[in-house]
Amino acid sequence: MSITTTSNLPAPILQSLAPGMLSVPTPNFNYIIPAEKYSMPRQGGTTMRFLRPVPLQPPVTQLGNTGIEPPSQVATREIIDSAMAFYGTSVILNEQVIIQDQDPVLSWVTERLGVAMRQAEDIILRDFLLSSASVYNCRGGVNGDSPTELTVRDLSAVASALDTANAFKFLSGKQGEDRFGTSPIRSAYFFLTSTEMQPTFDAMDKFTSSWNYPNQNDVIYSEYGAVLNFRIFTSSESAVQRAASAINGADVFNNMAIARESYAHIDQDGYSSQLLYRPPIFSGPLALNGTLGVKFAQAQVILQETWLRNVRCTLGS
Amino acid sequence: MTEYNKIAEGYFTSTGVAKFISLPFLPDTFEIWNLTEWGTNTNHLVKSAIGFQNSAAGTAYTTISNGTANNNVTITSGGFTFIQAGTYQYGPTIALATTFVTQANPAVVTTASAHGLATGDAVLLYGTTSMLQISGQVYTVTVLSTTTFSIPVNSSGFASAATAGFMKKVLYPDLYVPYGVNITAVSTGTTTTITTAVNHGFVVGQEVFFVLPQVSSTAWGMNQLDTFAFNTANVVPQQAYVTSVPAANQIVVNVNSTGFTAFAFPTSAQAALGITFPQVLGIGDQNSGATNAVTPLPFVPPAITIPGAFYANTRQGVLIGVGDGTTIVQATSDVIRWRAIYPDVIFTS
Repeated sequence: MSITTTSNLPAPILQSLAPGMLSVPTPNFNYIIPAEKYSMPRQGGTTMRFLRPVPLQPPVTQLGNTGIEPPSQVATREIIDSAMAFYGTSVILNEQVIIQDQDPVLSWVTERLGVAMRQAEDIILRDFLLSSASVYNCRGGVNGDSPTELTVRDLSAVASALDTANAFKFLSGKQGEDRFGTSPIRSAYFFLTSTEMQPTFDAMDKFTSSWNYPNQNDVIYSEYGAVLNFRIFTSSESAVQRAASAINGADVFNNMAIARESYAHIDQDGYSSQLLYRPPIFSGPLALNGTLGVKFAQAQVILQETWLRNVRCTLGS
Repeated sequence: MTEYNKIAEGYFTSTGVAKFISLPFLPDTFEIWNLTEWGTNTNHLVKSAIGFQNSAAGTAYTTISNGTANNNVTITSGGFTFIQAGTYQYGPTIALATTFVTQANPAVVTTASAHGLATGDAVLLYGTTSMLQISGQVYTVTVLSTTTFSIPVNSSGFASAATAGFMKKVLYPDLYVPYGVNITAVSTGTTTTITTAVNHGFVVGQEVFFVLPQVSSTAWGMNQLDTFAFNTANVVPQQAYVTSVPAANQIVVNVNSTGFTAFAFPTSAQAALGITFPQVLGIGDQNSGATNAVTPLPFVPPAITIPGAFYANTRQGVLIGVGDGTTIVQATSDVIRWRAIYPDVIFTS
């Protein structure tokens, strides 16, 4: 008896297209999260101007009974400007791709352009903070490098510096609840760090995983946990200087300790994201190529320079 | 040619150092013509050169003179480097000589092999045994010889010279300004003069603030200048304006520092425990001074008249080297014409 198999009776086509595209590794975009969001109006010029009053000296001296008035103070304000910039990228697709490809190319290219745009937004903010924030080098660790590994002592010092600068915290804390394995969470600043730093936090005795919060309200995907007055957000795209520490030439991690209103992200009305599709009909005498593009306008600015620290550290030995 | 091709052209007069051409696209092909040398037969001087994005950094295919006729030479360093820069990039690590940082003003650094630097380059020093107080910081250098350069630090009062260590060039230092604008000296008086480790990029009128982390009562000192120190001297946080820029690594600010604690480096032993360098940073929109270091300016909005508006310094383009030491791509006063090309498509077969 002979059996007919795929060896002697192959299918006309020995391939099937798996439904759906495979996922694309994409970092967490954390730097946009704690930014104050502003929008410049259309026809609003090139620059958004922020004004910040300068504190007046408190009048702590008695007026006395001389009848002579003390000199008055001059009220001044800081002027902080941020100029809008425009960014964009595109993909050119030959019409035959669109006509012949069995995959919805336009759909996934649109998706990738959207992700690329938001990734650019985050990288620009990251590099901006890196170039603008004042630095705190960790020194509480024992790895013999400078900066040392991140420790509770360092985080406490940074929180103290932010508190001393009268910075605003983002979140008012989480009260303890009657749930096994959970603990209350302090009111918190944001701490944006690298996924490579997660083992450091896991080994920290003051660390509370986000899964050990009393509840999961307002916990987002990239939140790793909390230490003292910081809630930790990790991303594979944080700022790392490879082989740059002072003593051992180790990788230096630039972690951002951020208070509310410390920096702003500004978009332009109607220009926060634009998806542009030009069908091939616009491309030339033979209408061969279509284009897909994205554009966006973005500005960023430090609003409170003392409410933001770049906490630099290495990894533990 | 179709609508997607891109060509940019330009020219400049060489100053004898590497030249960055900032472009609105990353080209596939880059070529230059040395108009000054075109009709001459000067030995080793490049008349024209071409480079491709997929070649190794520093590679250029050149036509040079051998003194009597033209010759074709491929160089693998000092040619063209195609750059998209937004993150930290360093040159190779170079070990330093046995005793490499002197106790002097300014401190002189000696490398074990040729450093390949030019005056104005930025260098990260690290692992500086016995002189750790300068370690982990980026400095703008003044080249003294092929193996020595000075840094803007007065190390004459340090306990000992450094006896080991490493350096590496920071490839695009203006990307990170004002980050890394650390303070190396402060002169007190009715106004205050601040010397910085790297060229600061600040402009007159820029508002600044200060970070002077206290290592001990004497190390760094001058806590009266620290914006973060809310002491009796600073009921209002310490901020100031730049009133003049005497040098690329110096500013004068309107702070009357008469009577302030003296600025002083920590000891090497204190630095071994980890230190934060004192910093001066701009307030508000901080990076315009830095961006001005790049010519031509990329993506500059028109008519910015207020100092300090921030732009993303991330940029792209081509770095034209000066040659590999034998073949000279550009020499001082040479007029260089360049062309950058981004084609529609590159056929590979």
